[in-house]
Amino acid sequence: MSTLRLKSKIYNLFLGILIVVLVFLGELYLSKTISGIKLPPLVSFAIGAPLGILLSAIIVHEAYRRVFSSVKVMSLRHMVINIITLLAILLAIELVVLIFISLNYLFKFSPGYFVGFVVIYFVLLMLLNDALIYMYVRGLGGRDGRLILVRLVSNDKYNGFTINMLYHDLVIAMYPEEFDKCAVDVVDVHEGYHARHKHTLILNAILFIGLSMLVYYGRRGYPMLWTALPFLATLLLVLTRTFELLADRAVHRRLGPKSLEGFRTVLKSLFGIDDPRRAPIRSRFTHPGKRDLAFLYGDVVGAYAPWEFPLLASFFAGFVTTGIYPVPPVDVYIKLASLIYIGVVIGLFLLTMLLGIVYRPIIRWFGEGLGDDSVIDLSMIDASIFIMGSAMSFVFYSIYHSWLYSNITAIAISFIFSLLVTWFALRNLRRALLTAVSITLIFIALDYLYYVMVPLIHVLYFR
Amino acid sequence: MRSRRSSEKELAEALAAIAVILSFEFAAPAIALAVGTMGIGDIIAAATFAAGFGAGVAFWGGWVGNCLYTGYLAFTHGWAALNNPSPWLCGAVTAGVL
Repeated sequence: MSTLRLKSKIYNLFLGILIVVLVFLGELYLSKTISGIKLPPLVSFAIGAPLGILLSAIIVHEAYRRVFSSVKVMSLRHMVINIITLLAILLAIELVVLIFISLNYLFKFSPGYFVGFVVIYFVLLMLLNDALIYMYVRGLGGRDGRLILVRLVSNDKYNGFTINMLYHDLVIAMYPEEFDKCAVDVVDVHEGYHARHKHTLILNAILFIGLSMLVYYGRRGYPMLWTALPFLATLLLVLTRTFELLADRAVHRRLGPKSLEGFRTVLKSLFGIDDPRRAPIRSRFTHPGKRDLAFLYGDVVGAYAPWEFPLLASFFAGFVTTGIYPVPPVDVYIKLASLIYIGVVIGLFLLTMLLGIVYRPIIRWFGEGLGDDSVIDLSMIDASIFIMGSAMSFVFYSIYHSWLYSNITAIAISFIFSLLVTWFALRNLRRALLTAVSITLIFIALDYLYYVMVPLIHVLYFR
Repeated sequence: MRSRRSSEKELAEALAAIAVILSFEFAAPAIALAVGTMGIGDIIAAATFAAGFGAGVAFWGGWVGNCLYTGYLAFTHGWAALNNPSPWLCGAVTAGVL
């Protein structure tokens, strides 16, 4: 049995690598072949977009065919797979069309009109998706206000999925005929929380507005704007993990510490192990490995990985340092800016981790009752806030044209945000205030030289 | 859930981190000086900028202070106007509108 499983794992891995390599080689081949032929943008869009969407539809369909393979009733299984594939195709078409029109037509708009257009486009198309999906599922499952709940009977697996639309929310829950009540409750409450708070809709909105703004400003002459892509990707990842942890905390609040047992049953049915910290990487990527803390204690802060907020902060700082300037698209500028980007991202990631280690005794001192994981995560989050705040100096400089005022404003904003986050974790204003004041003073004392360096980087970059 | 690690160890790690941060920060301008991308004058200029305490006080006491004072005046006058409307003023405004 274990040999079989290992074989199938290796097979999956090689299949994945093969697809990536083939797509890469195909792109290389096509770019070389097509570079001699000048096709009008509309024609290349009409050829490229359907091919890409078809490929993504095949991948999504294949992935969910495996996920729902243990559902007993064949017609229901196909229906659910088709709904998810349909939504993936709709979203892919809408995103690709938005990128195409931003690239070719909308870049002439002023920023205000552009953002207004994108927001209206997003709302109208989400309404359209809602109507199409609703027509497909209206005869299916139970109804509770906006919520459409489809329950599937599987052979042995517990699982749940949520699709948020502008008005309706679709929850697909599956569990075996002989089910464990607690595990079913865990799936229901977790997915219900996702549905009620429109989590996937929020992620879609950030993706649509973020990507289209990147295309808009990229077309208007910001050659280092690609530096926003790692930041956007990390932001979406951290937000997804946050949503998962909040949904887990909602389960803890409803069911208490016994929710962990129900969750272990779900996990065992899916991956054959009941420890979330040893779940496969494809699960731990979007669902933090330490989520047992959220189920057991309702502790969200402690369940994050210590690296994720420093990574977000360093990508943000790299983007703000190099990406927001309309430098001329000359090779020497691009090379210099790329070097500065790489240096800032790596350097500030290390600096944030070190700053987190410096903050840890203070958080431990004032954060009475916090666990080890919460202490280190809260330190890292506070350190990330200060690093992001100091990067914002660059943005403020474009308003004030004075480094002093920019740095003062950055410190003030970092102080307020760190106070807010620490208060959220401690729920005690006096302790949060003491923590925020202490770490702000330490940051000023320790990074005074860093603040001296910020104008110098700016001078180096522009002269 | 309570802490198991000794706070002395964390304090020692924090001090070590401070040492690393400071050496990094001093290394950056040192390397820039050695390579020649900047001179002593740049360091002095930047340090002077960042240390301009008087300008900071002027900023918060002047521009920001004025903004806060304007908000305060708007609030107090608005409150007075809403709570003590003069009948003559009301009459005049109504007549004007009519």
